[in-house]
Amino acid sequence: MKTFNYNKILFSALAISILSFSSCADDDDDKIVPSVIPTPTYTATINLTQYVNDSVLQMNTTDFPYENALMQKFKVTKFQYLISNVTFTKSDGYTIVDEDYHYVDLTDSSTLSYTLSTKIPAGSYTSVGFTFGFDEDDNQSGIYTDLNTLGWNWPAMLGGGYHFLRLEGNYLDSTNTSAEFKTHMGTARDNSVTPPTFDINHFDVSLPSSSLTVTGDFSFDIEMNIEEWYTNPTDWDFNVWNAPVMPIYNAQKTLNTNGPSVFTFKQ
Amino acid sequence: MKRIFNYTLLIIILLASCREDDDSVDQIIPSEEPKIFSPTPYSLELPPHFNLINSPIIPADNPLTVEGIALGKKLFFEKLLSKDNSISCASCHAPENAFNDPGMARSLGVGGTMSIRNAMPLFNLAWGSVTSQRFNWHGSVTSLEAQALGPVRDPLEMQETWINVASKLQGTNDYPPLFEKAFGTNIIDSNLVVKAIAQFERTLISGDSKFDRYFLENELGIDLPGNHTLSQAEQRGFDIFMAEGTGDCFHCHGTPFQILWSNNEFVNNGLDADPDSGLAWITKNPLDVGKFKTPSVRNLAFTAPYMHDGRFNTLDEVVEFYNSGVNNNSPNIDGRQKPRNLNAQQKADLIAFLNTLNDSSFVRNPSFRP
Repeated sequence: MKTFNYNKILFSALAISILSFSSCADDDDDKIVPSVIPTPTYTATINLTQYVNDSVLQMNTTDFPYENALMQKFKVTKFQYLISNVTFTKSDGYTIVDEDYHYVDLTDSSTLSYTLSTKIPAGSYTSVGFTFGFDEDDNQSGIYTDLNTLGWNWPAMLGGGYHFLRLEGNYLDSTNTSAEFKTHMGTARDNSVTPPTFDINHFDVSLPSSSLTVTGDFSFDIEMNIEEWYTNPTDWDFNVWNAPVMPIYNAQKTLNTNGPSVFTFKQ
Repeated sequence: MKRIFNYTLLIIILLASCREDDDSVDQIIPSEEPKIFSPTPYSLELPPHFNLINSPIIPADNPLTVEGIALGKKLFFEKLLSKDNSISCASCHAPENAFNDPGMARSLGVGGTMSIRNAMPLFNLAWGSVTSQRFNWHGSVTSLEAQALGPVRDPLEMQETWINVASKLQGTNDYPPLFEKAFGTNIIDSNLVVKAIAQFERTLISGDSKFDRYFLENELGIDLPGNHTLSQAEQRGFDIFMAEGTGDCFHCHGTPFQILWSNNEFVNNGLDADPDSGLAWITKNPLDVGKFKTPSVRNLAFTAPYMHDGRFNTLDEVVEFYNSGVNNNSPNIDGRQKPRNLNAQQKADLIAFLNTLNDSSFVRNPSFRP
């Protein structure tokens, strides 16, 4: 796992400082060894925002205000998703990872702001990224009590772990009748082989144009364009993939390949 | 704070003694030690896998105590709570039926008046506020304490006033000292009655079914005495429950890791084209019409009949409803409600699995009897 143990560095710095001071005390002449001053660190807050193209997403509308790439009209009634391992990268390859996860439910405004538990060292970063869903190490069945409480588990028969996405709503089908879609994403089971295989279905996002300089506590937006879940590179046909899609391997992999272009960065 | 109270009490007793007997000013030794209110704290005993979800939320102003729980149990079985002293909470929430009303679609109140809903079973309520902010089929209250206020004064249920209940309990020999022990006062009021009942209800924990034991041993690796496996039919039924493409029960009724076996959300499952207002009665939101609280699928063998109005007498009827009987013209119907096309074997398997969630040790637990 692409992990950088920041605490280890801090500890080393502290240890060196203590050793330095001890040396002085033991040997009280004027050979002052300069101590290492740790880089100051700051709090990062992420605002999670959702759009459909250029408009802020409106949920539970009576009409069907949105249209996918195949010109199928739809509306959204439920939207929940999971991100993890927010990562800041410097030009020299240094990375710092917040090894935590964040569940977003659009009906709970408190989840739309995410303050990282890891403090970010001052400096210039070339990009910000994160994992959509959980990677293989983190996607272990049953280990997160808050997600278990929400019933966010992904069935064992489909590979277990957790849901990454629940995007639900209604679309107008080929007879212009309202029908439900439930775009759920998690581990992809390939049933075409025996025994079935399971593809870890998370994807890593490196947000385009996401350079930033940290000089104090800071915040930025991760914007999601819902339209992009259903296009680029593959147009999603609600008439084919509405519900269920959890057991459909190709639907799961399509979400995986459509997903990375969903997100943009704004500060 | 407690200490201040005790000193104040002592001073009052001393002063009172002075006034009563002002000849013997030099004999003012209080005849009685001031009572110290110190109920015994109680921690819920949880099955080992119940730490898979967030901890129960116990209100800060109503901590669990041994004395409070004991008082709550006595009150739960107390018929003085009703207008003509004929029914108690347990009359419609019988312990041997997982605290459901055995065989009654809609429970009968004082004088045989019929309530408008099926009595809900009572278990694992300590997590009620963890997964939802609302109790009752239509989400009418936001705490167990508030819930307990309702039935006493409901004109279709106990038909009593809280002033009368407090007065009746106050007039007994046994209740005032029990309130003193539980709450530090022998002055009885509705607030303390519902606090005690809520404490008792929070102890009603059910997690020892066949499936629980199977899951503990086979999935969590906890050694239990005996052999805990599922039959082939039960395993197939579990797979149907968990598969979005067949039963798709789990999105609302939980997974083995969501040990409550309900998300406690409010959903219109499509019973009627013109449904009962449900949650909308409380929220006044037209998008909530027809939505009722998703019940747990634990203990179904003890809780027939089913649904908010008890319209289905058997699990066969319930499964057949979801399989082929959903009314898709119902407003705000959940999108998962569509024909399932399960065959007879699949339906039988699903029911076999559901019956692995019956917890007979819960319904026989002597701690929950009067």
